[in-house]
Amino acid sequence: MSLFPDAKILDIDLTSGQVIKKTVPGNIFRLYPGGSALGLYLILQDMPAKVDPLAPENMLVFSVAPFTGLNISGLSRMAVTTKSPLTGTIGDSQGGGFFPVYLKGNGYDAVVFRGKSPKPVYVYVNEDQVEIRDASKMWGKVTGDAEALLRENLGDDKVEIAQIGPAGENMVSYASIINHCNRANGRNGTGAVMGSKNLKALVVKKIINTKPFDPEAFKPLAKSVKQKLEENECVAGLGEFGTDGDLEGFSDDGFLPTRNWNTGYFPEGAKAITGTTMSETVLKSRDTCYACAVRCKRVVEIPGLVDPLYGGPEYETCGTFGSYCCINDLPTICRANQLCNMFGIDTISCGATIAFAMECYEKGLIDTKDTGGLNLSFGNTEIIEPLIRMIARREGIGDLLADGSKKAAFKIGGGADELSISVKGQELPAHMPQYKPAVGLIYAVNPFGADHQSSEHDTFLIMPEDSIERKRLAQIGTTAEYDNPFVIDDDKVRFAFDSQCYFSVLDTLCLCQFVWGPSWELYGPDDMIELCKSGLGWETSLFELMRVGERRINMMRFFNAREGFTKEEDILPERLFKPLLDGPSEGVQLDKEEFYKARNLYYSFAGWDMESGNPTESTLRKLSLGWLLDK
Amino acid sequence: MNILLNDTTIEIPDDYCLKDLLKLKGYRRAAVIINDKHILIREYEKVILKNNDAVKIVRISGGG
Repeated sequence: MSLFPDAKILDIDLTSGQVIKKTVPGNIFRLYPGGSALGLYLILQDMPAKVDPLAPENMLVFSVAPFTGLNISGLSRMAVTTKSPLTGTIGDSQGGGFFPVYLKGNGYDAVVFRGKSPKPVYVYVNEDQVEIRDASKMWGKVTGDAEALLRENLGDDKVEIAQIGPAGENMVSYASIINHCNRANGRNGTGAVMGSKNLKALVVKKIINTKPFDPEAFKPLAKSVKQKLEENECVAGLGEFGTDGDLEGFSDDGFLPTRNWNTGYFPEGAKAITGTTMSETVLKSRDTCYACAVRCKRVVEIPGLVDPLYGGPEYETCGTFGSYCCINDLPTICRANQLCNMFGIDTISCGATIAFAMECYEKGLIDTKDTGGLNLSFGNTEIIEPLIRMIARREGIGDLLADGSKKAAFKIGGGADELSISVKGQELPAHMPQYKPAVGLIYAVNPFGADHQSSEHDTFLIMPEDSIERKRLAQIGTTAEYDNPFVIDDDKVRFAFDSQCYFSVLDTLCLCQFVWGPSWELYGPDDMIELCKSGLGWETSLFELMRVGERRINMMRFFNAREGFTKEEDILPERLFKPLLDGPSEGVQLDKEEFYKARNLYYSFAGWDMESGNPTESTLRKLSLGWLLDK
Repeated sequence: MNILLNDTTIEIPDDYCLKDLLKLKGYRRAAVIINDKHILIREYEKVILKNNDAVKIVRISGGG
């Protein structure tokens, strides 16, 4: 018998209606212990290359980790893995809330969906009882209304629901999966894949039964959160002011993406949309994920305009709908956030694609004939709501924008491609590579497009050597110190790769990256190892965990290589290599030669082929992935 | 008196504590280093700034 638990998988073929329960043996599960690593393992076992992301042959996997649901902060996350309709690469999106805990509580580590239902359905899971049920009445409804109908249909309030809205039904390329009406598996268009399968929702009975392996050893780890929170200014600030807490500060420094990334300075609007203003004006309450002490989630309310059911905007949402679009009106952003959660749309890609459209409009590449009369000038608050609705329904110009800025640019032509600020078709989040070049490097090489939560950010390397952040980073091999974040040298590349492997572990173990991490977070590397031991009985090491993270990244790159991706797609938008236009960062730019030299060094550190940028046979074998060579 | 805040000289009143400075600048989610020493959050009210102190603010950025 393996020392590691077996993974329990629910495998549902929506074409035939067949439901199979199977296991992945513990000795295999240990290599892919949850999250998107488990999702990738299941997909690469069965799914051939070159599948259309919206075809029945695409697989869609919801997955958690073996200890999801333990009573400790930051253990309530879920991965959704599939082939992305937005990027054509592997798709990976992470979300939190309560749903992941109940999914695990029902006894499952992953739910796999294959095929396509002939009519709209939802899947209800109550431990061994698994039903595919009619969702015709919920189809076309926004998430809040559909939640109410699903509960009514089941005659049970004690369920949690992960669902798509109308955007997923209409296969908007950046449609998200929403749970609790306000938590999103947001990126990569996983909601569109759900829609392509006629799958409205996955509904799970509220059951919690995850217990620690060694309760006596686990208890002090869980209890230490109070003291850790009192001593950690970064995470305490997250709780008090949300992820948007320092948006104004980014603008002050000149690194808040503004006007579709033409500048990093938004003096006319940053204060109006920053987290402190939100706290002082529209904030109704702070919300939490399961058992989490941080309480970073915002709940906002504006009578007649914004319903607290749909939560509140994060930093990224305030960036993309705010500074990207030169919108300095917080109620408009809160409304946009609500609409995205109602329709099931990723707020990053949606806001960024609207900013792209605004620049196309101002440059004369599109006009009112294309927009149905809408004036898409930067700063026009009036067009945000109609555009989101048109995108969700694929109406008018919304149909063009529903596939993201890169594909829209291809159709618009006339140089519009230079205005799409995206990597592999996924729009950049609100962190500027000119300021954080290691983050920019990961934007470029990340298998599923630009992502800000796939590695640690450069800024922590300017902290003193004796700070807890630097001491933790030293544990994963980062010892270099910098006076400023702008440098991209050998040590920074190693930092980028190693911290990417660490974050990849977090996305495998479904740990929240605001609570668990390699530097500023509440729990560091030693704590993560202790969690594996006391929580699961897994006698592991930082070495094994980093390998887990590296394995996941290589599986993703292998998936992409099968689809034809090479290093030619590992590129940043040209705009980042041009001087910023004004403000404190005026003139700052990434050095192209230096950046691509760093990318090549990254490939060599990763053990990837220098010509293709893809994993070599020896690297795959080193990571116990030799079985992929037969795929 | 003057302090160096992220490489820029600014003037602040005497007897100014770190918490006052953060409030003045509107910084809500940041780590603070004064003269190469990391200041813990529980020390913010106790730390009185001195003339020519070099204060470094490291902004924490995360997503959502």
